[in-house]
Amino acid sequence: MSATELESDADLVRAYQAGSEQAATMLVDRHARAVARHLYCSGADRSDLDDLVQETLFRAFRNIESWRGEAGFRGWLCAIAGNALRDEVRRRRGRVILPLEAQPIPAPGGPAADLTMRDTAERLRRAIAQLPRLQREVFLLRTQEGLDYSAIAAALGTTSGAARVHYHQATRRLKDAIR
Amino acid sequence: MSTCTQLSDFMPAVAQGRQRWTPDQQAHLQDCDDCAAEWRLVQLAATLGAGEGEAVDANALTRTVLARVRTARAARPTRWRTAWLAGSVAAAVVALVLIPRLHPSRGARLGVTVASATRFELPVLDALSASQLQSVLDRLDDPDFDASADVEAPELDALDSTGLQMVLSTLEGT
Repeated sequence: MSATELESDADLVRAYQAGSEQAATMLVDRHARAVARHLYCSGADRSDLDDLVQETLFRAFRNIESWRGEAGFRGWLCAIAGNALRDEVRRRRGRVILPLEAQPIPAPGGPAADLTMRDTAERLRRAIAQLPRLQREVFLLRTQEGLDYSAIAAALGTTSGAARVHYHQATRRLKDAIR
Repeated sequence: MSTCTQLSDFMPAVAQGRQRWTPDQQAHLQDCDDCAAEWRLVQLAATLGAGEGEAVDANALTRTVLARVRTARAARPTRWRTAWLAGSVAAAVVALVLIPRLHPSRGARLGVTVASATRFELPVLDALSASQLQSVLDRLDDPDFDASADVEAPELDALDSTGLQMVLSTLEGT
């Protein structure tokens, strides 16, 4: 593991606040791909990912003082990404990208259904995009980032107990969607 | 905590390779349809979108983001100060209209009438730049601004106690 990989997010944030642009670059390198993946799995169109990632990082660095370390830096970024995506959907209301409102999910086993892993993954992605916001965020932070409920709660401004409930509600709905 | 709940809590860590199932947990997965379905879901979710963002150029992205941050921070103080000054002056003008109506005797002591409200000199105007003064004048010249009409004073509602005190101090010449 290189010396740069050993520096914690908190160390890098402090270095950035002290004026180190290299520290900012290291934070971006460490987290930008995860932010892109989070946005994509939340329903963002691939063609919008670059702009949304940039907007997420802009909001984060502009308000870096508001990250006090209670939530992990990645969880905090993912929460900002969720806000950026929500704002973009509102801005484009009426134009279909991958709408967060109901879009028919191909029924499994139907005549046109292709039960390859790729189609199942797409069905899951659409189902995740249709979840209520908190259920979606909690589910993705748990299954993709491996955050525990207390870290998720800190990132999303909720409680551990509520995060656990959101997760189980999400899994119940998503299991049906890909059954 | 039930076995199903325990397994549910454990699934993300196993899917991400950080933990392994115990033999008992493996056996439960084979026997419980609900847990088996959830395990399939979590495995799929753990790999969903795995390739997204691979083309990110961190150096270029950082330069762009930080340039936006610098621009945003540079714009913020001027915008806030201009808005505060314009709002304060507008509130003072509105107060000049309201005070004679609400307190006629006080308005007389101040030598202010509705008709002369716009000619009352406010010391705070001396602090404004030429462009800021112009923005105040533009507001007064607004055809929707009628000094003789009953005027609501939303701007006063926007002022905190310090701002209101400044308006009053200006009117009282203190």
